[in-house]
This record gives sequence, C-alpha cells and structure tokens, in this order.
Amino acid sequence: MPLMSGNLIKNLFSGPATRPYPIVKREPFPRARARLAYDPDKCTYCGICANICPAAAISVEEDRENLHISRVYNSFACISCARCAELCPQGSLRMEVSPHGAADAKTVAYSASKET
Amino acid sequence: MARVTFPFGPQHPVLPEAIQLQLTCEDERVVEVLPVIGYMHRGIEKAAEANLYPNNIFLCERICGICSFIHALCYCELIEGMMRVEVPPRAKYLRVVWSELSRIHSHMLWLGLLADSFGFESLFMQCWRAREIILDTLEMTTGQRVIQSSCVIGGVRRDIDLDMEPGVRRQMAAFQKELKSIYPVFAKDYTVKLRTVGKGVLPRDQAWSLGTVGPTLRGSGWADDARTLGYAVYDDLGFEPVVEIGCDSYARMMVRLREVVQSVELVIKALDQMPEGDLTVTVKSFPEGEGLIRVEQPRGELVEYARGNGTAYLERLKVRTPTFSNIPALLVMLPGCELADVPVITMSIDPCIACTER
Repeated sequence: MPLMSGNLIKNLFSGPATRPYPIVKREPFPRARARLAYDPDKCTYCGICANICPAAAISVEEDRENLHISRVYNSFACISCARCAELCPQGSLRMEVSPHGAADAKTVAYSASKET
Repeated sequence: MARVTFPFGPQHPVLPEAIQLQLTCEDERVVEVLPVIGYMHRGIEKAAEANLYPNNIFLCERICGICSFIHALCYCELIEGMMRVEVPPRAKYLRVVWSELSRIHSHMLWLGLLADSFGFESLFMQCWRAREIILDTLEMTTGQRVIQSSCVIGGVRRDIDLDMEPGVRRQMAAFQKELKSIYPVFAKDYTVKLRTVGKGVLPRDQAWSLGTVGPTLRGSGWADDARTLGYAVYDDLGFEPVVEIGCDSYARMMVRLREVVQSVELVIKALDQMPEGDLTVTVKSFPEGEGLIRVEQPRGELVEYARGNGTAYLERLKVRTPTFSNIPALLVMLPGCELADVPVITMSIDPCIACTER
C-alpha cells in the first residue's frame, strides 16, 4: 500500500476522474462511427449498400411491375461498420458521431423511389 | 477427511465469463478440479461458412470483444496468404499499432481484474482508468473503442495521418505516466506478492507438454511468441518475447505487465518508422485451397485454418483460441492450493471463454 501513497494523495486533492454526466457530456471524436445517417433525396437506389452490408441491415427491392424500388434500413441489425458510407457513390450515407440516446430511438426505416 | 465437491461458477463475481470449475475440496484445500465449458457457444465457425468471405472479417471480430482487432487481423492475414496478396507496408505498420493497442487494453483489463480478484479495489480502478486512454486512442484512430472494423483483406480501411499522429503520441505519453504509478505496485507490493508468489505453480516441462500458449507459457520460462514468426512487421521493429522463469501467478502477471511496457514502445517505434504509401490493394479473386496461420493474441497463440473452393464462400473456417490451450493447465495449477487462491489462479491464465467456445 505505501507504493500507492503518491497516487492516493493525488486522488485526495484532485476532482473525480469520472464526468458528471449528463451535465457534462463526452465530446465524440471526429472519426467516431455512432449511427448511420441517410439522405433519401440523394439516393439513386443502386443497391450497393444492400449488397455489401455484412449484417444484412439494408435491403433494396425492385418492383418491376410498378417501376418502384423500396429500401429498408433496420438500425437494430446495423453494426456501424461504415462500409456502406464509404462505398455509397452518391454520398447519401454517412456516419454521425453522436450516438442514439437509447435503444428505443432506433427504428426500421422505409424509403422508396418516386413512381415513374 | 470428508471430500466435498461443489461448483465454482459459471456465475461467480470474480469470473468475467461463464466457466464452471467443479472443485473437490478436503477442508480448505483443493484436491481435484474439473473445468466445464459450454455455456457460451454461438456457432461462429458454422456462420462463417454461410457468409461472403470479406464479411467474415466482421464476424471474426465478434469472436472476442477484447482482442477483436487481432481476430480480424488473423483472418485477413490467412486469406491474404491463401490468395497470395501482398499488403502495402504502411498497412502492415498500422496493423501493428492497432494490434499492440489492443494488447495493452486487454492486459490492463486483465491486471485490473486480477487486482479485483485479490480484493485490491483501488488498484483495479487505477488500471481501468489508465485503460480508458488506450480506448480513447482506438476510438480516435479507428472510430470505435472495442470493435474497430479497420482491417480488410489487402490492407486497412483507416489511416493515422500526420494530423492524428501527435495526438496518438500524446496519449501514449499520458498512458506511460499512468503506467509508471501502477507498475511498482504490481511488481513490489507486499500484499500483491503474498497472493501471487508461489501460487498456481506450472512447472516448465509441464507447461510445454500441456500445450499452453502465450503469457502462461512464457511465465514458465519458454520464449515462445507467434510474433517472432514475422507476420505484419514485428521483425523490423526488433521484437523479442518477454520471458519470466518463476512459473507461478506472479511470473505470469509480470509477463503481462512487462508486455504492456513493451507494447507501448512498439507503438511508438511503429509510428516513427511508418512509411508513406497506400493503405490497401484491390483484391478481386476468391480464396482457393487451404491455409493455416498463427498469430499472437494477448492471451497467446491464435490458430486459424480455412479451406476455400474458389467461390465467394469458405468451405471451412476453424479457429483455435489460446484459452482452449490454457485451460488444461488449471488441472496442474489448482490441486493443492487453498480455496481462497482459486480466483487468483484461475484469473492467472486470463480465461476468455467467449473465444474458446466461439
């Protein structure tokens, strides 16, 4: 125990090592991969994201009769690997640095191309 | 004297994961032990056969939450070897940096848990506080603290560029400062020595014949480390294995403690020597034939075997993790010890059951 005395004295006079959350929140790093943001206006429904997703969290289905493509993103299945964000040719997918508040903030999001 | 057999685990405050030890005791002395595993099987090897082979990187990362990067590295090196892919030098250096950061955070977690197992709560907190610096470095450089997802077949996905490098060096300096206050407590403290010196002795010849690996083997005097095989760039960094000859829990603890110091030096050396260049090469073909690789995890040697058939799916992926090799050593270490020493001795092999059962 005497070997830790320096540490103990330092800890006695310094503030707590932990952050007083939620008053002070942790700043995420610029490269952090917290959640996937999707911009449906930029999306061309090419399906690359669905093909490369290792967790099968994204699916893109084509309805040839009605000339309609639908895309489903299941954020419960997403593992935040950011492969889709790196490979999206239109830049409609990107990783946000701030995480979800809670698990119930996650959703299964549907989007579809405009009918032509 | 009457013998009593009772279960130690699978749910026990000292055990980080679910392993059961069926202990037979005479009074307070352990006379027999039977380890029981099988609580955490997830069928990852079978799942790997149904996945596209590049997607298995993310699956392999999830074999273990502590050494996730090294699992991914092992799989990537294995497939690269099968497909004869030459990885760019910069990617090799980055792989070493992240591997060693993973090793530091695994060892610091273990040192904290060991301190907790003999009731040294403040030391446990100090270790985990120092570990936060490493987790922050991993998040800063790769984007996530535990599952880095930075290794790909043919290289790495992220770079430690010139803007980020000073930050990593600062974090390493801050960690070294923290480590400086923790190291002498583990190495010299009277109570720590009382609980570890001479406890769980694994004789040198038995360590080899039981097939133990990693710090458990090196703590018994064998200089055996898969990093000397020359994967990534460990040869260029002048790596030499850390060896202790004590054969007890203290020796195994000192191996890990000295490896933390060595890993920090390796990270700094890799940053110094890192060449400019590409991060990945494009890989277009499919794996064919068989491959086997040995990589050094924080807990010891990780062996992976794969068989490909020229399609996007593997026929077989076999993973042998270090804890699987180290569990038989408990049959030598535990008989004869006091019941109160069972947690410390069990922790001294750094059991990772999620790895073992996959």
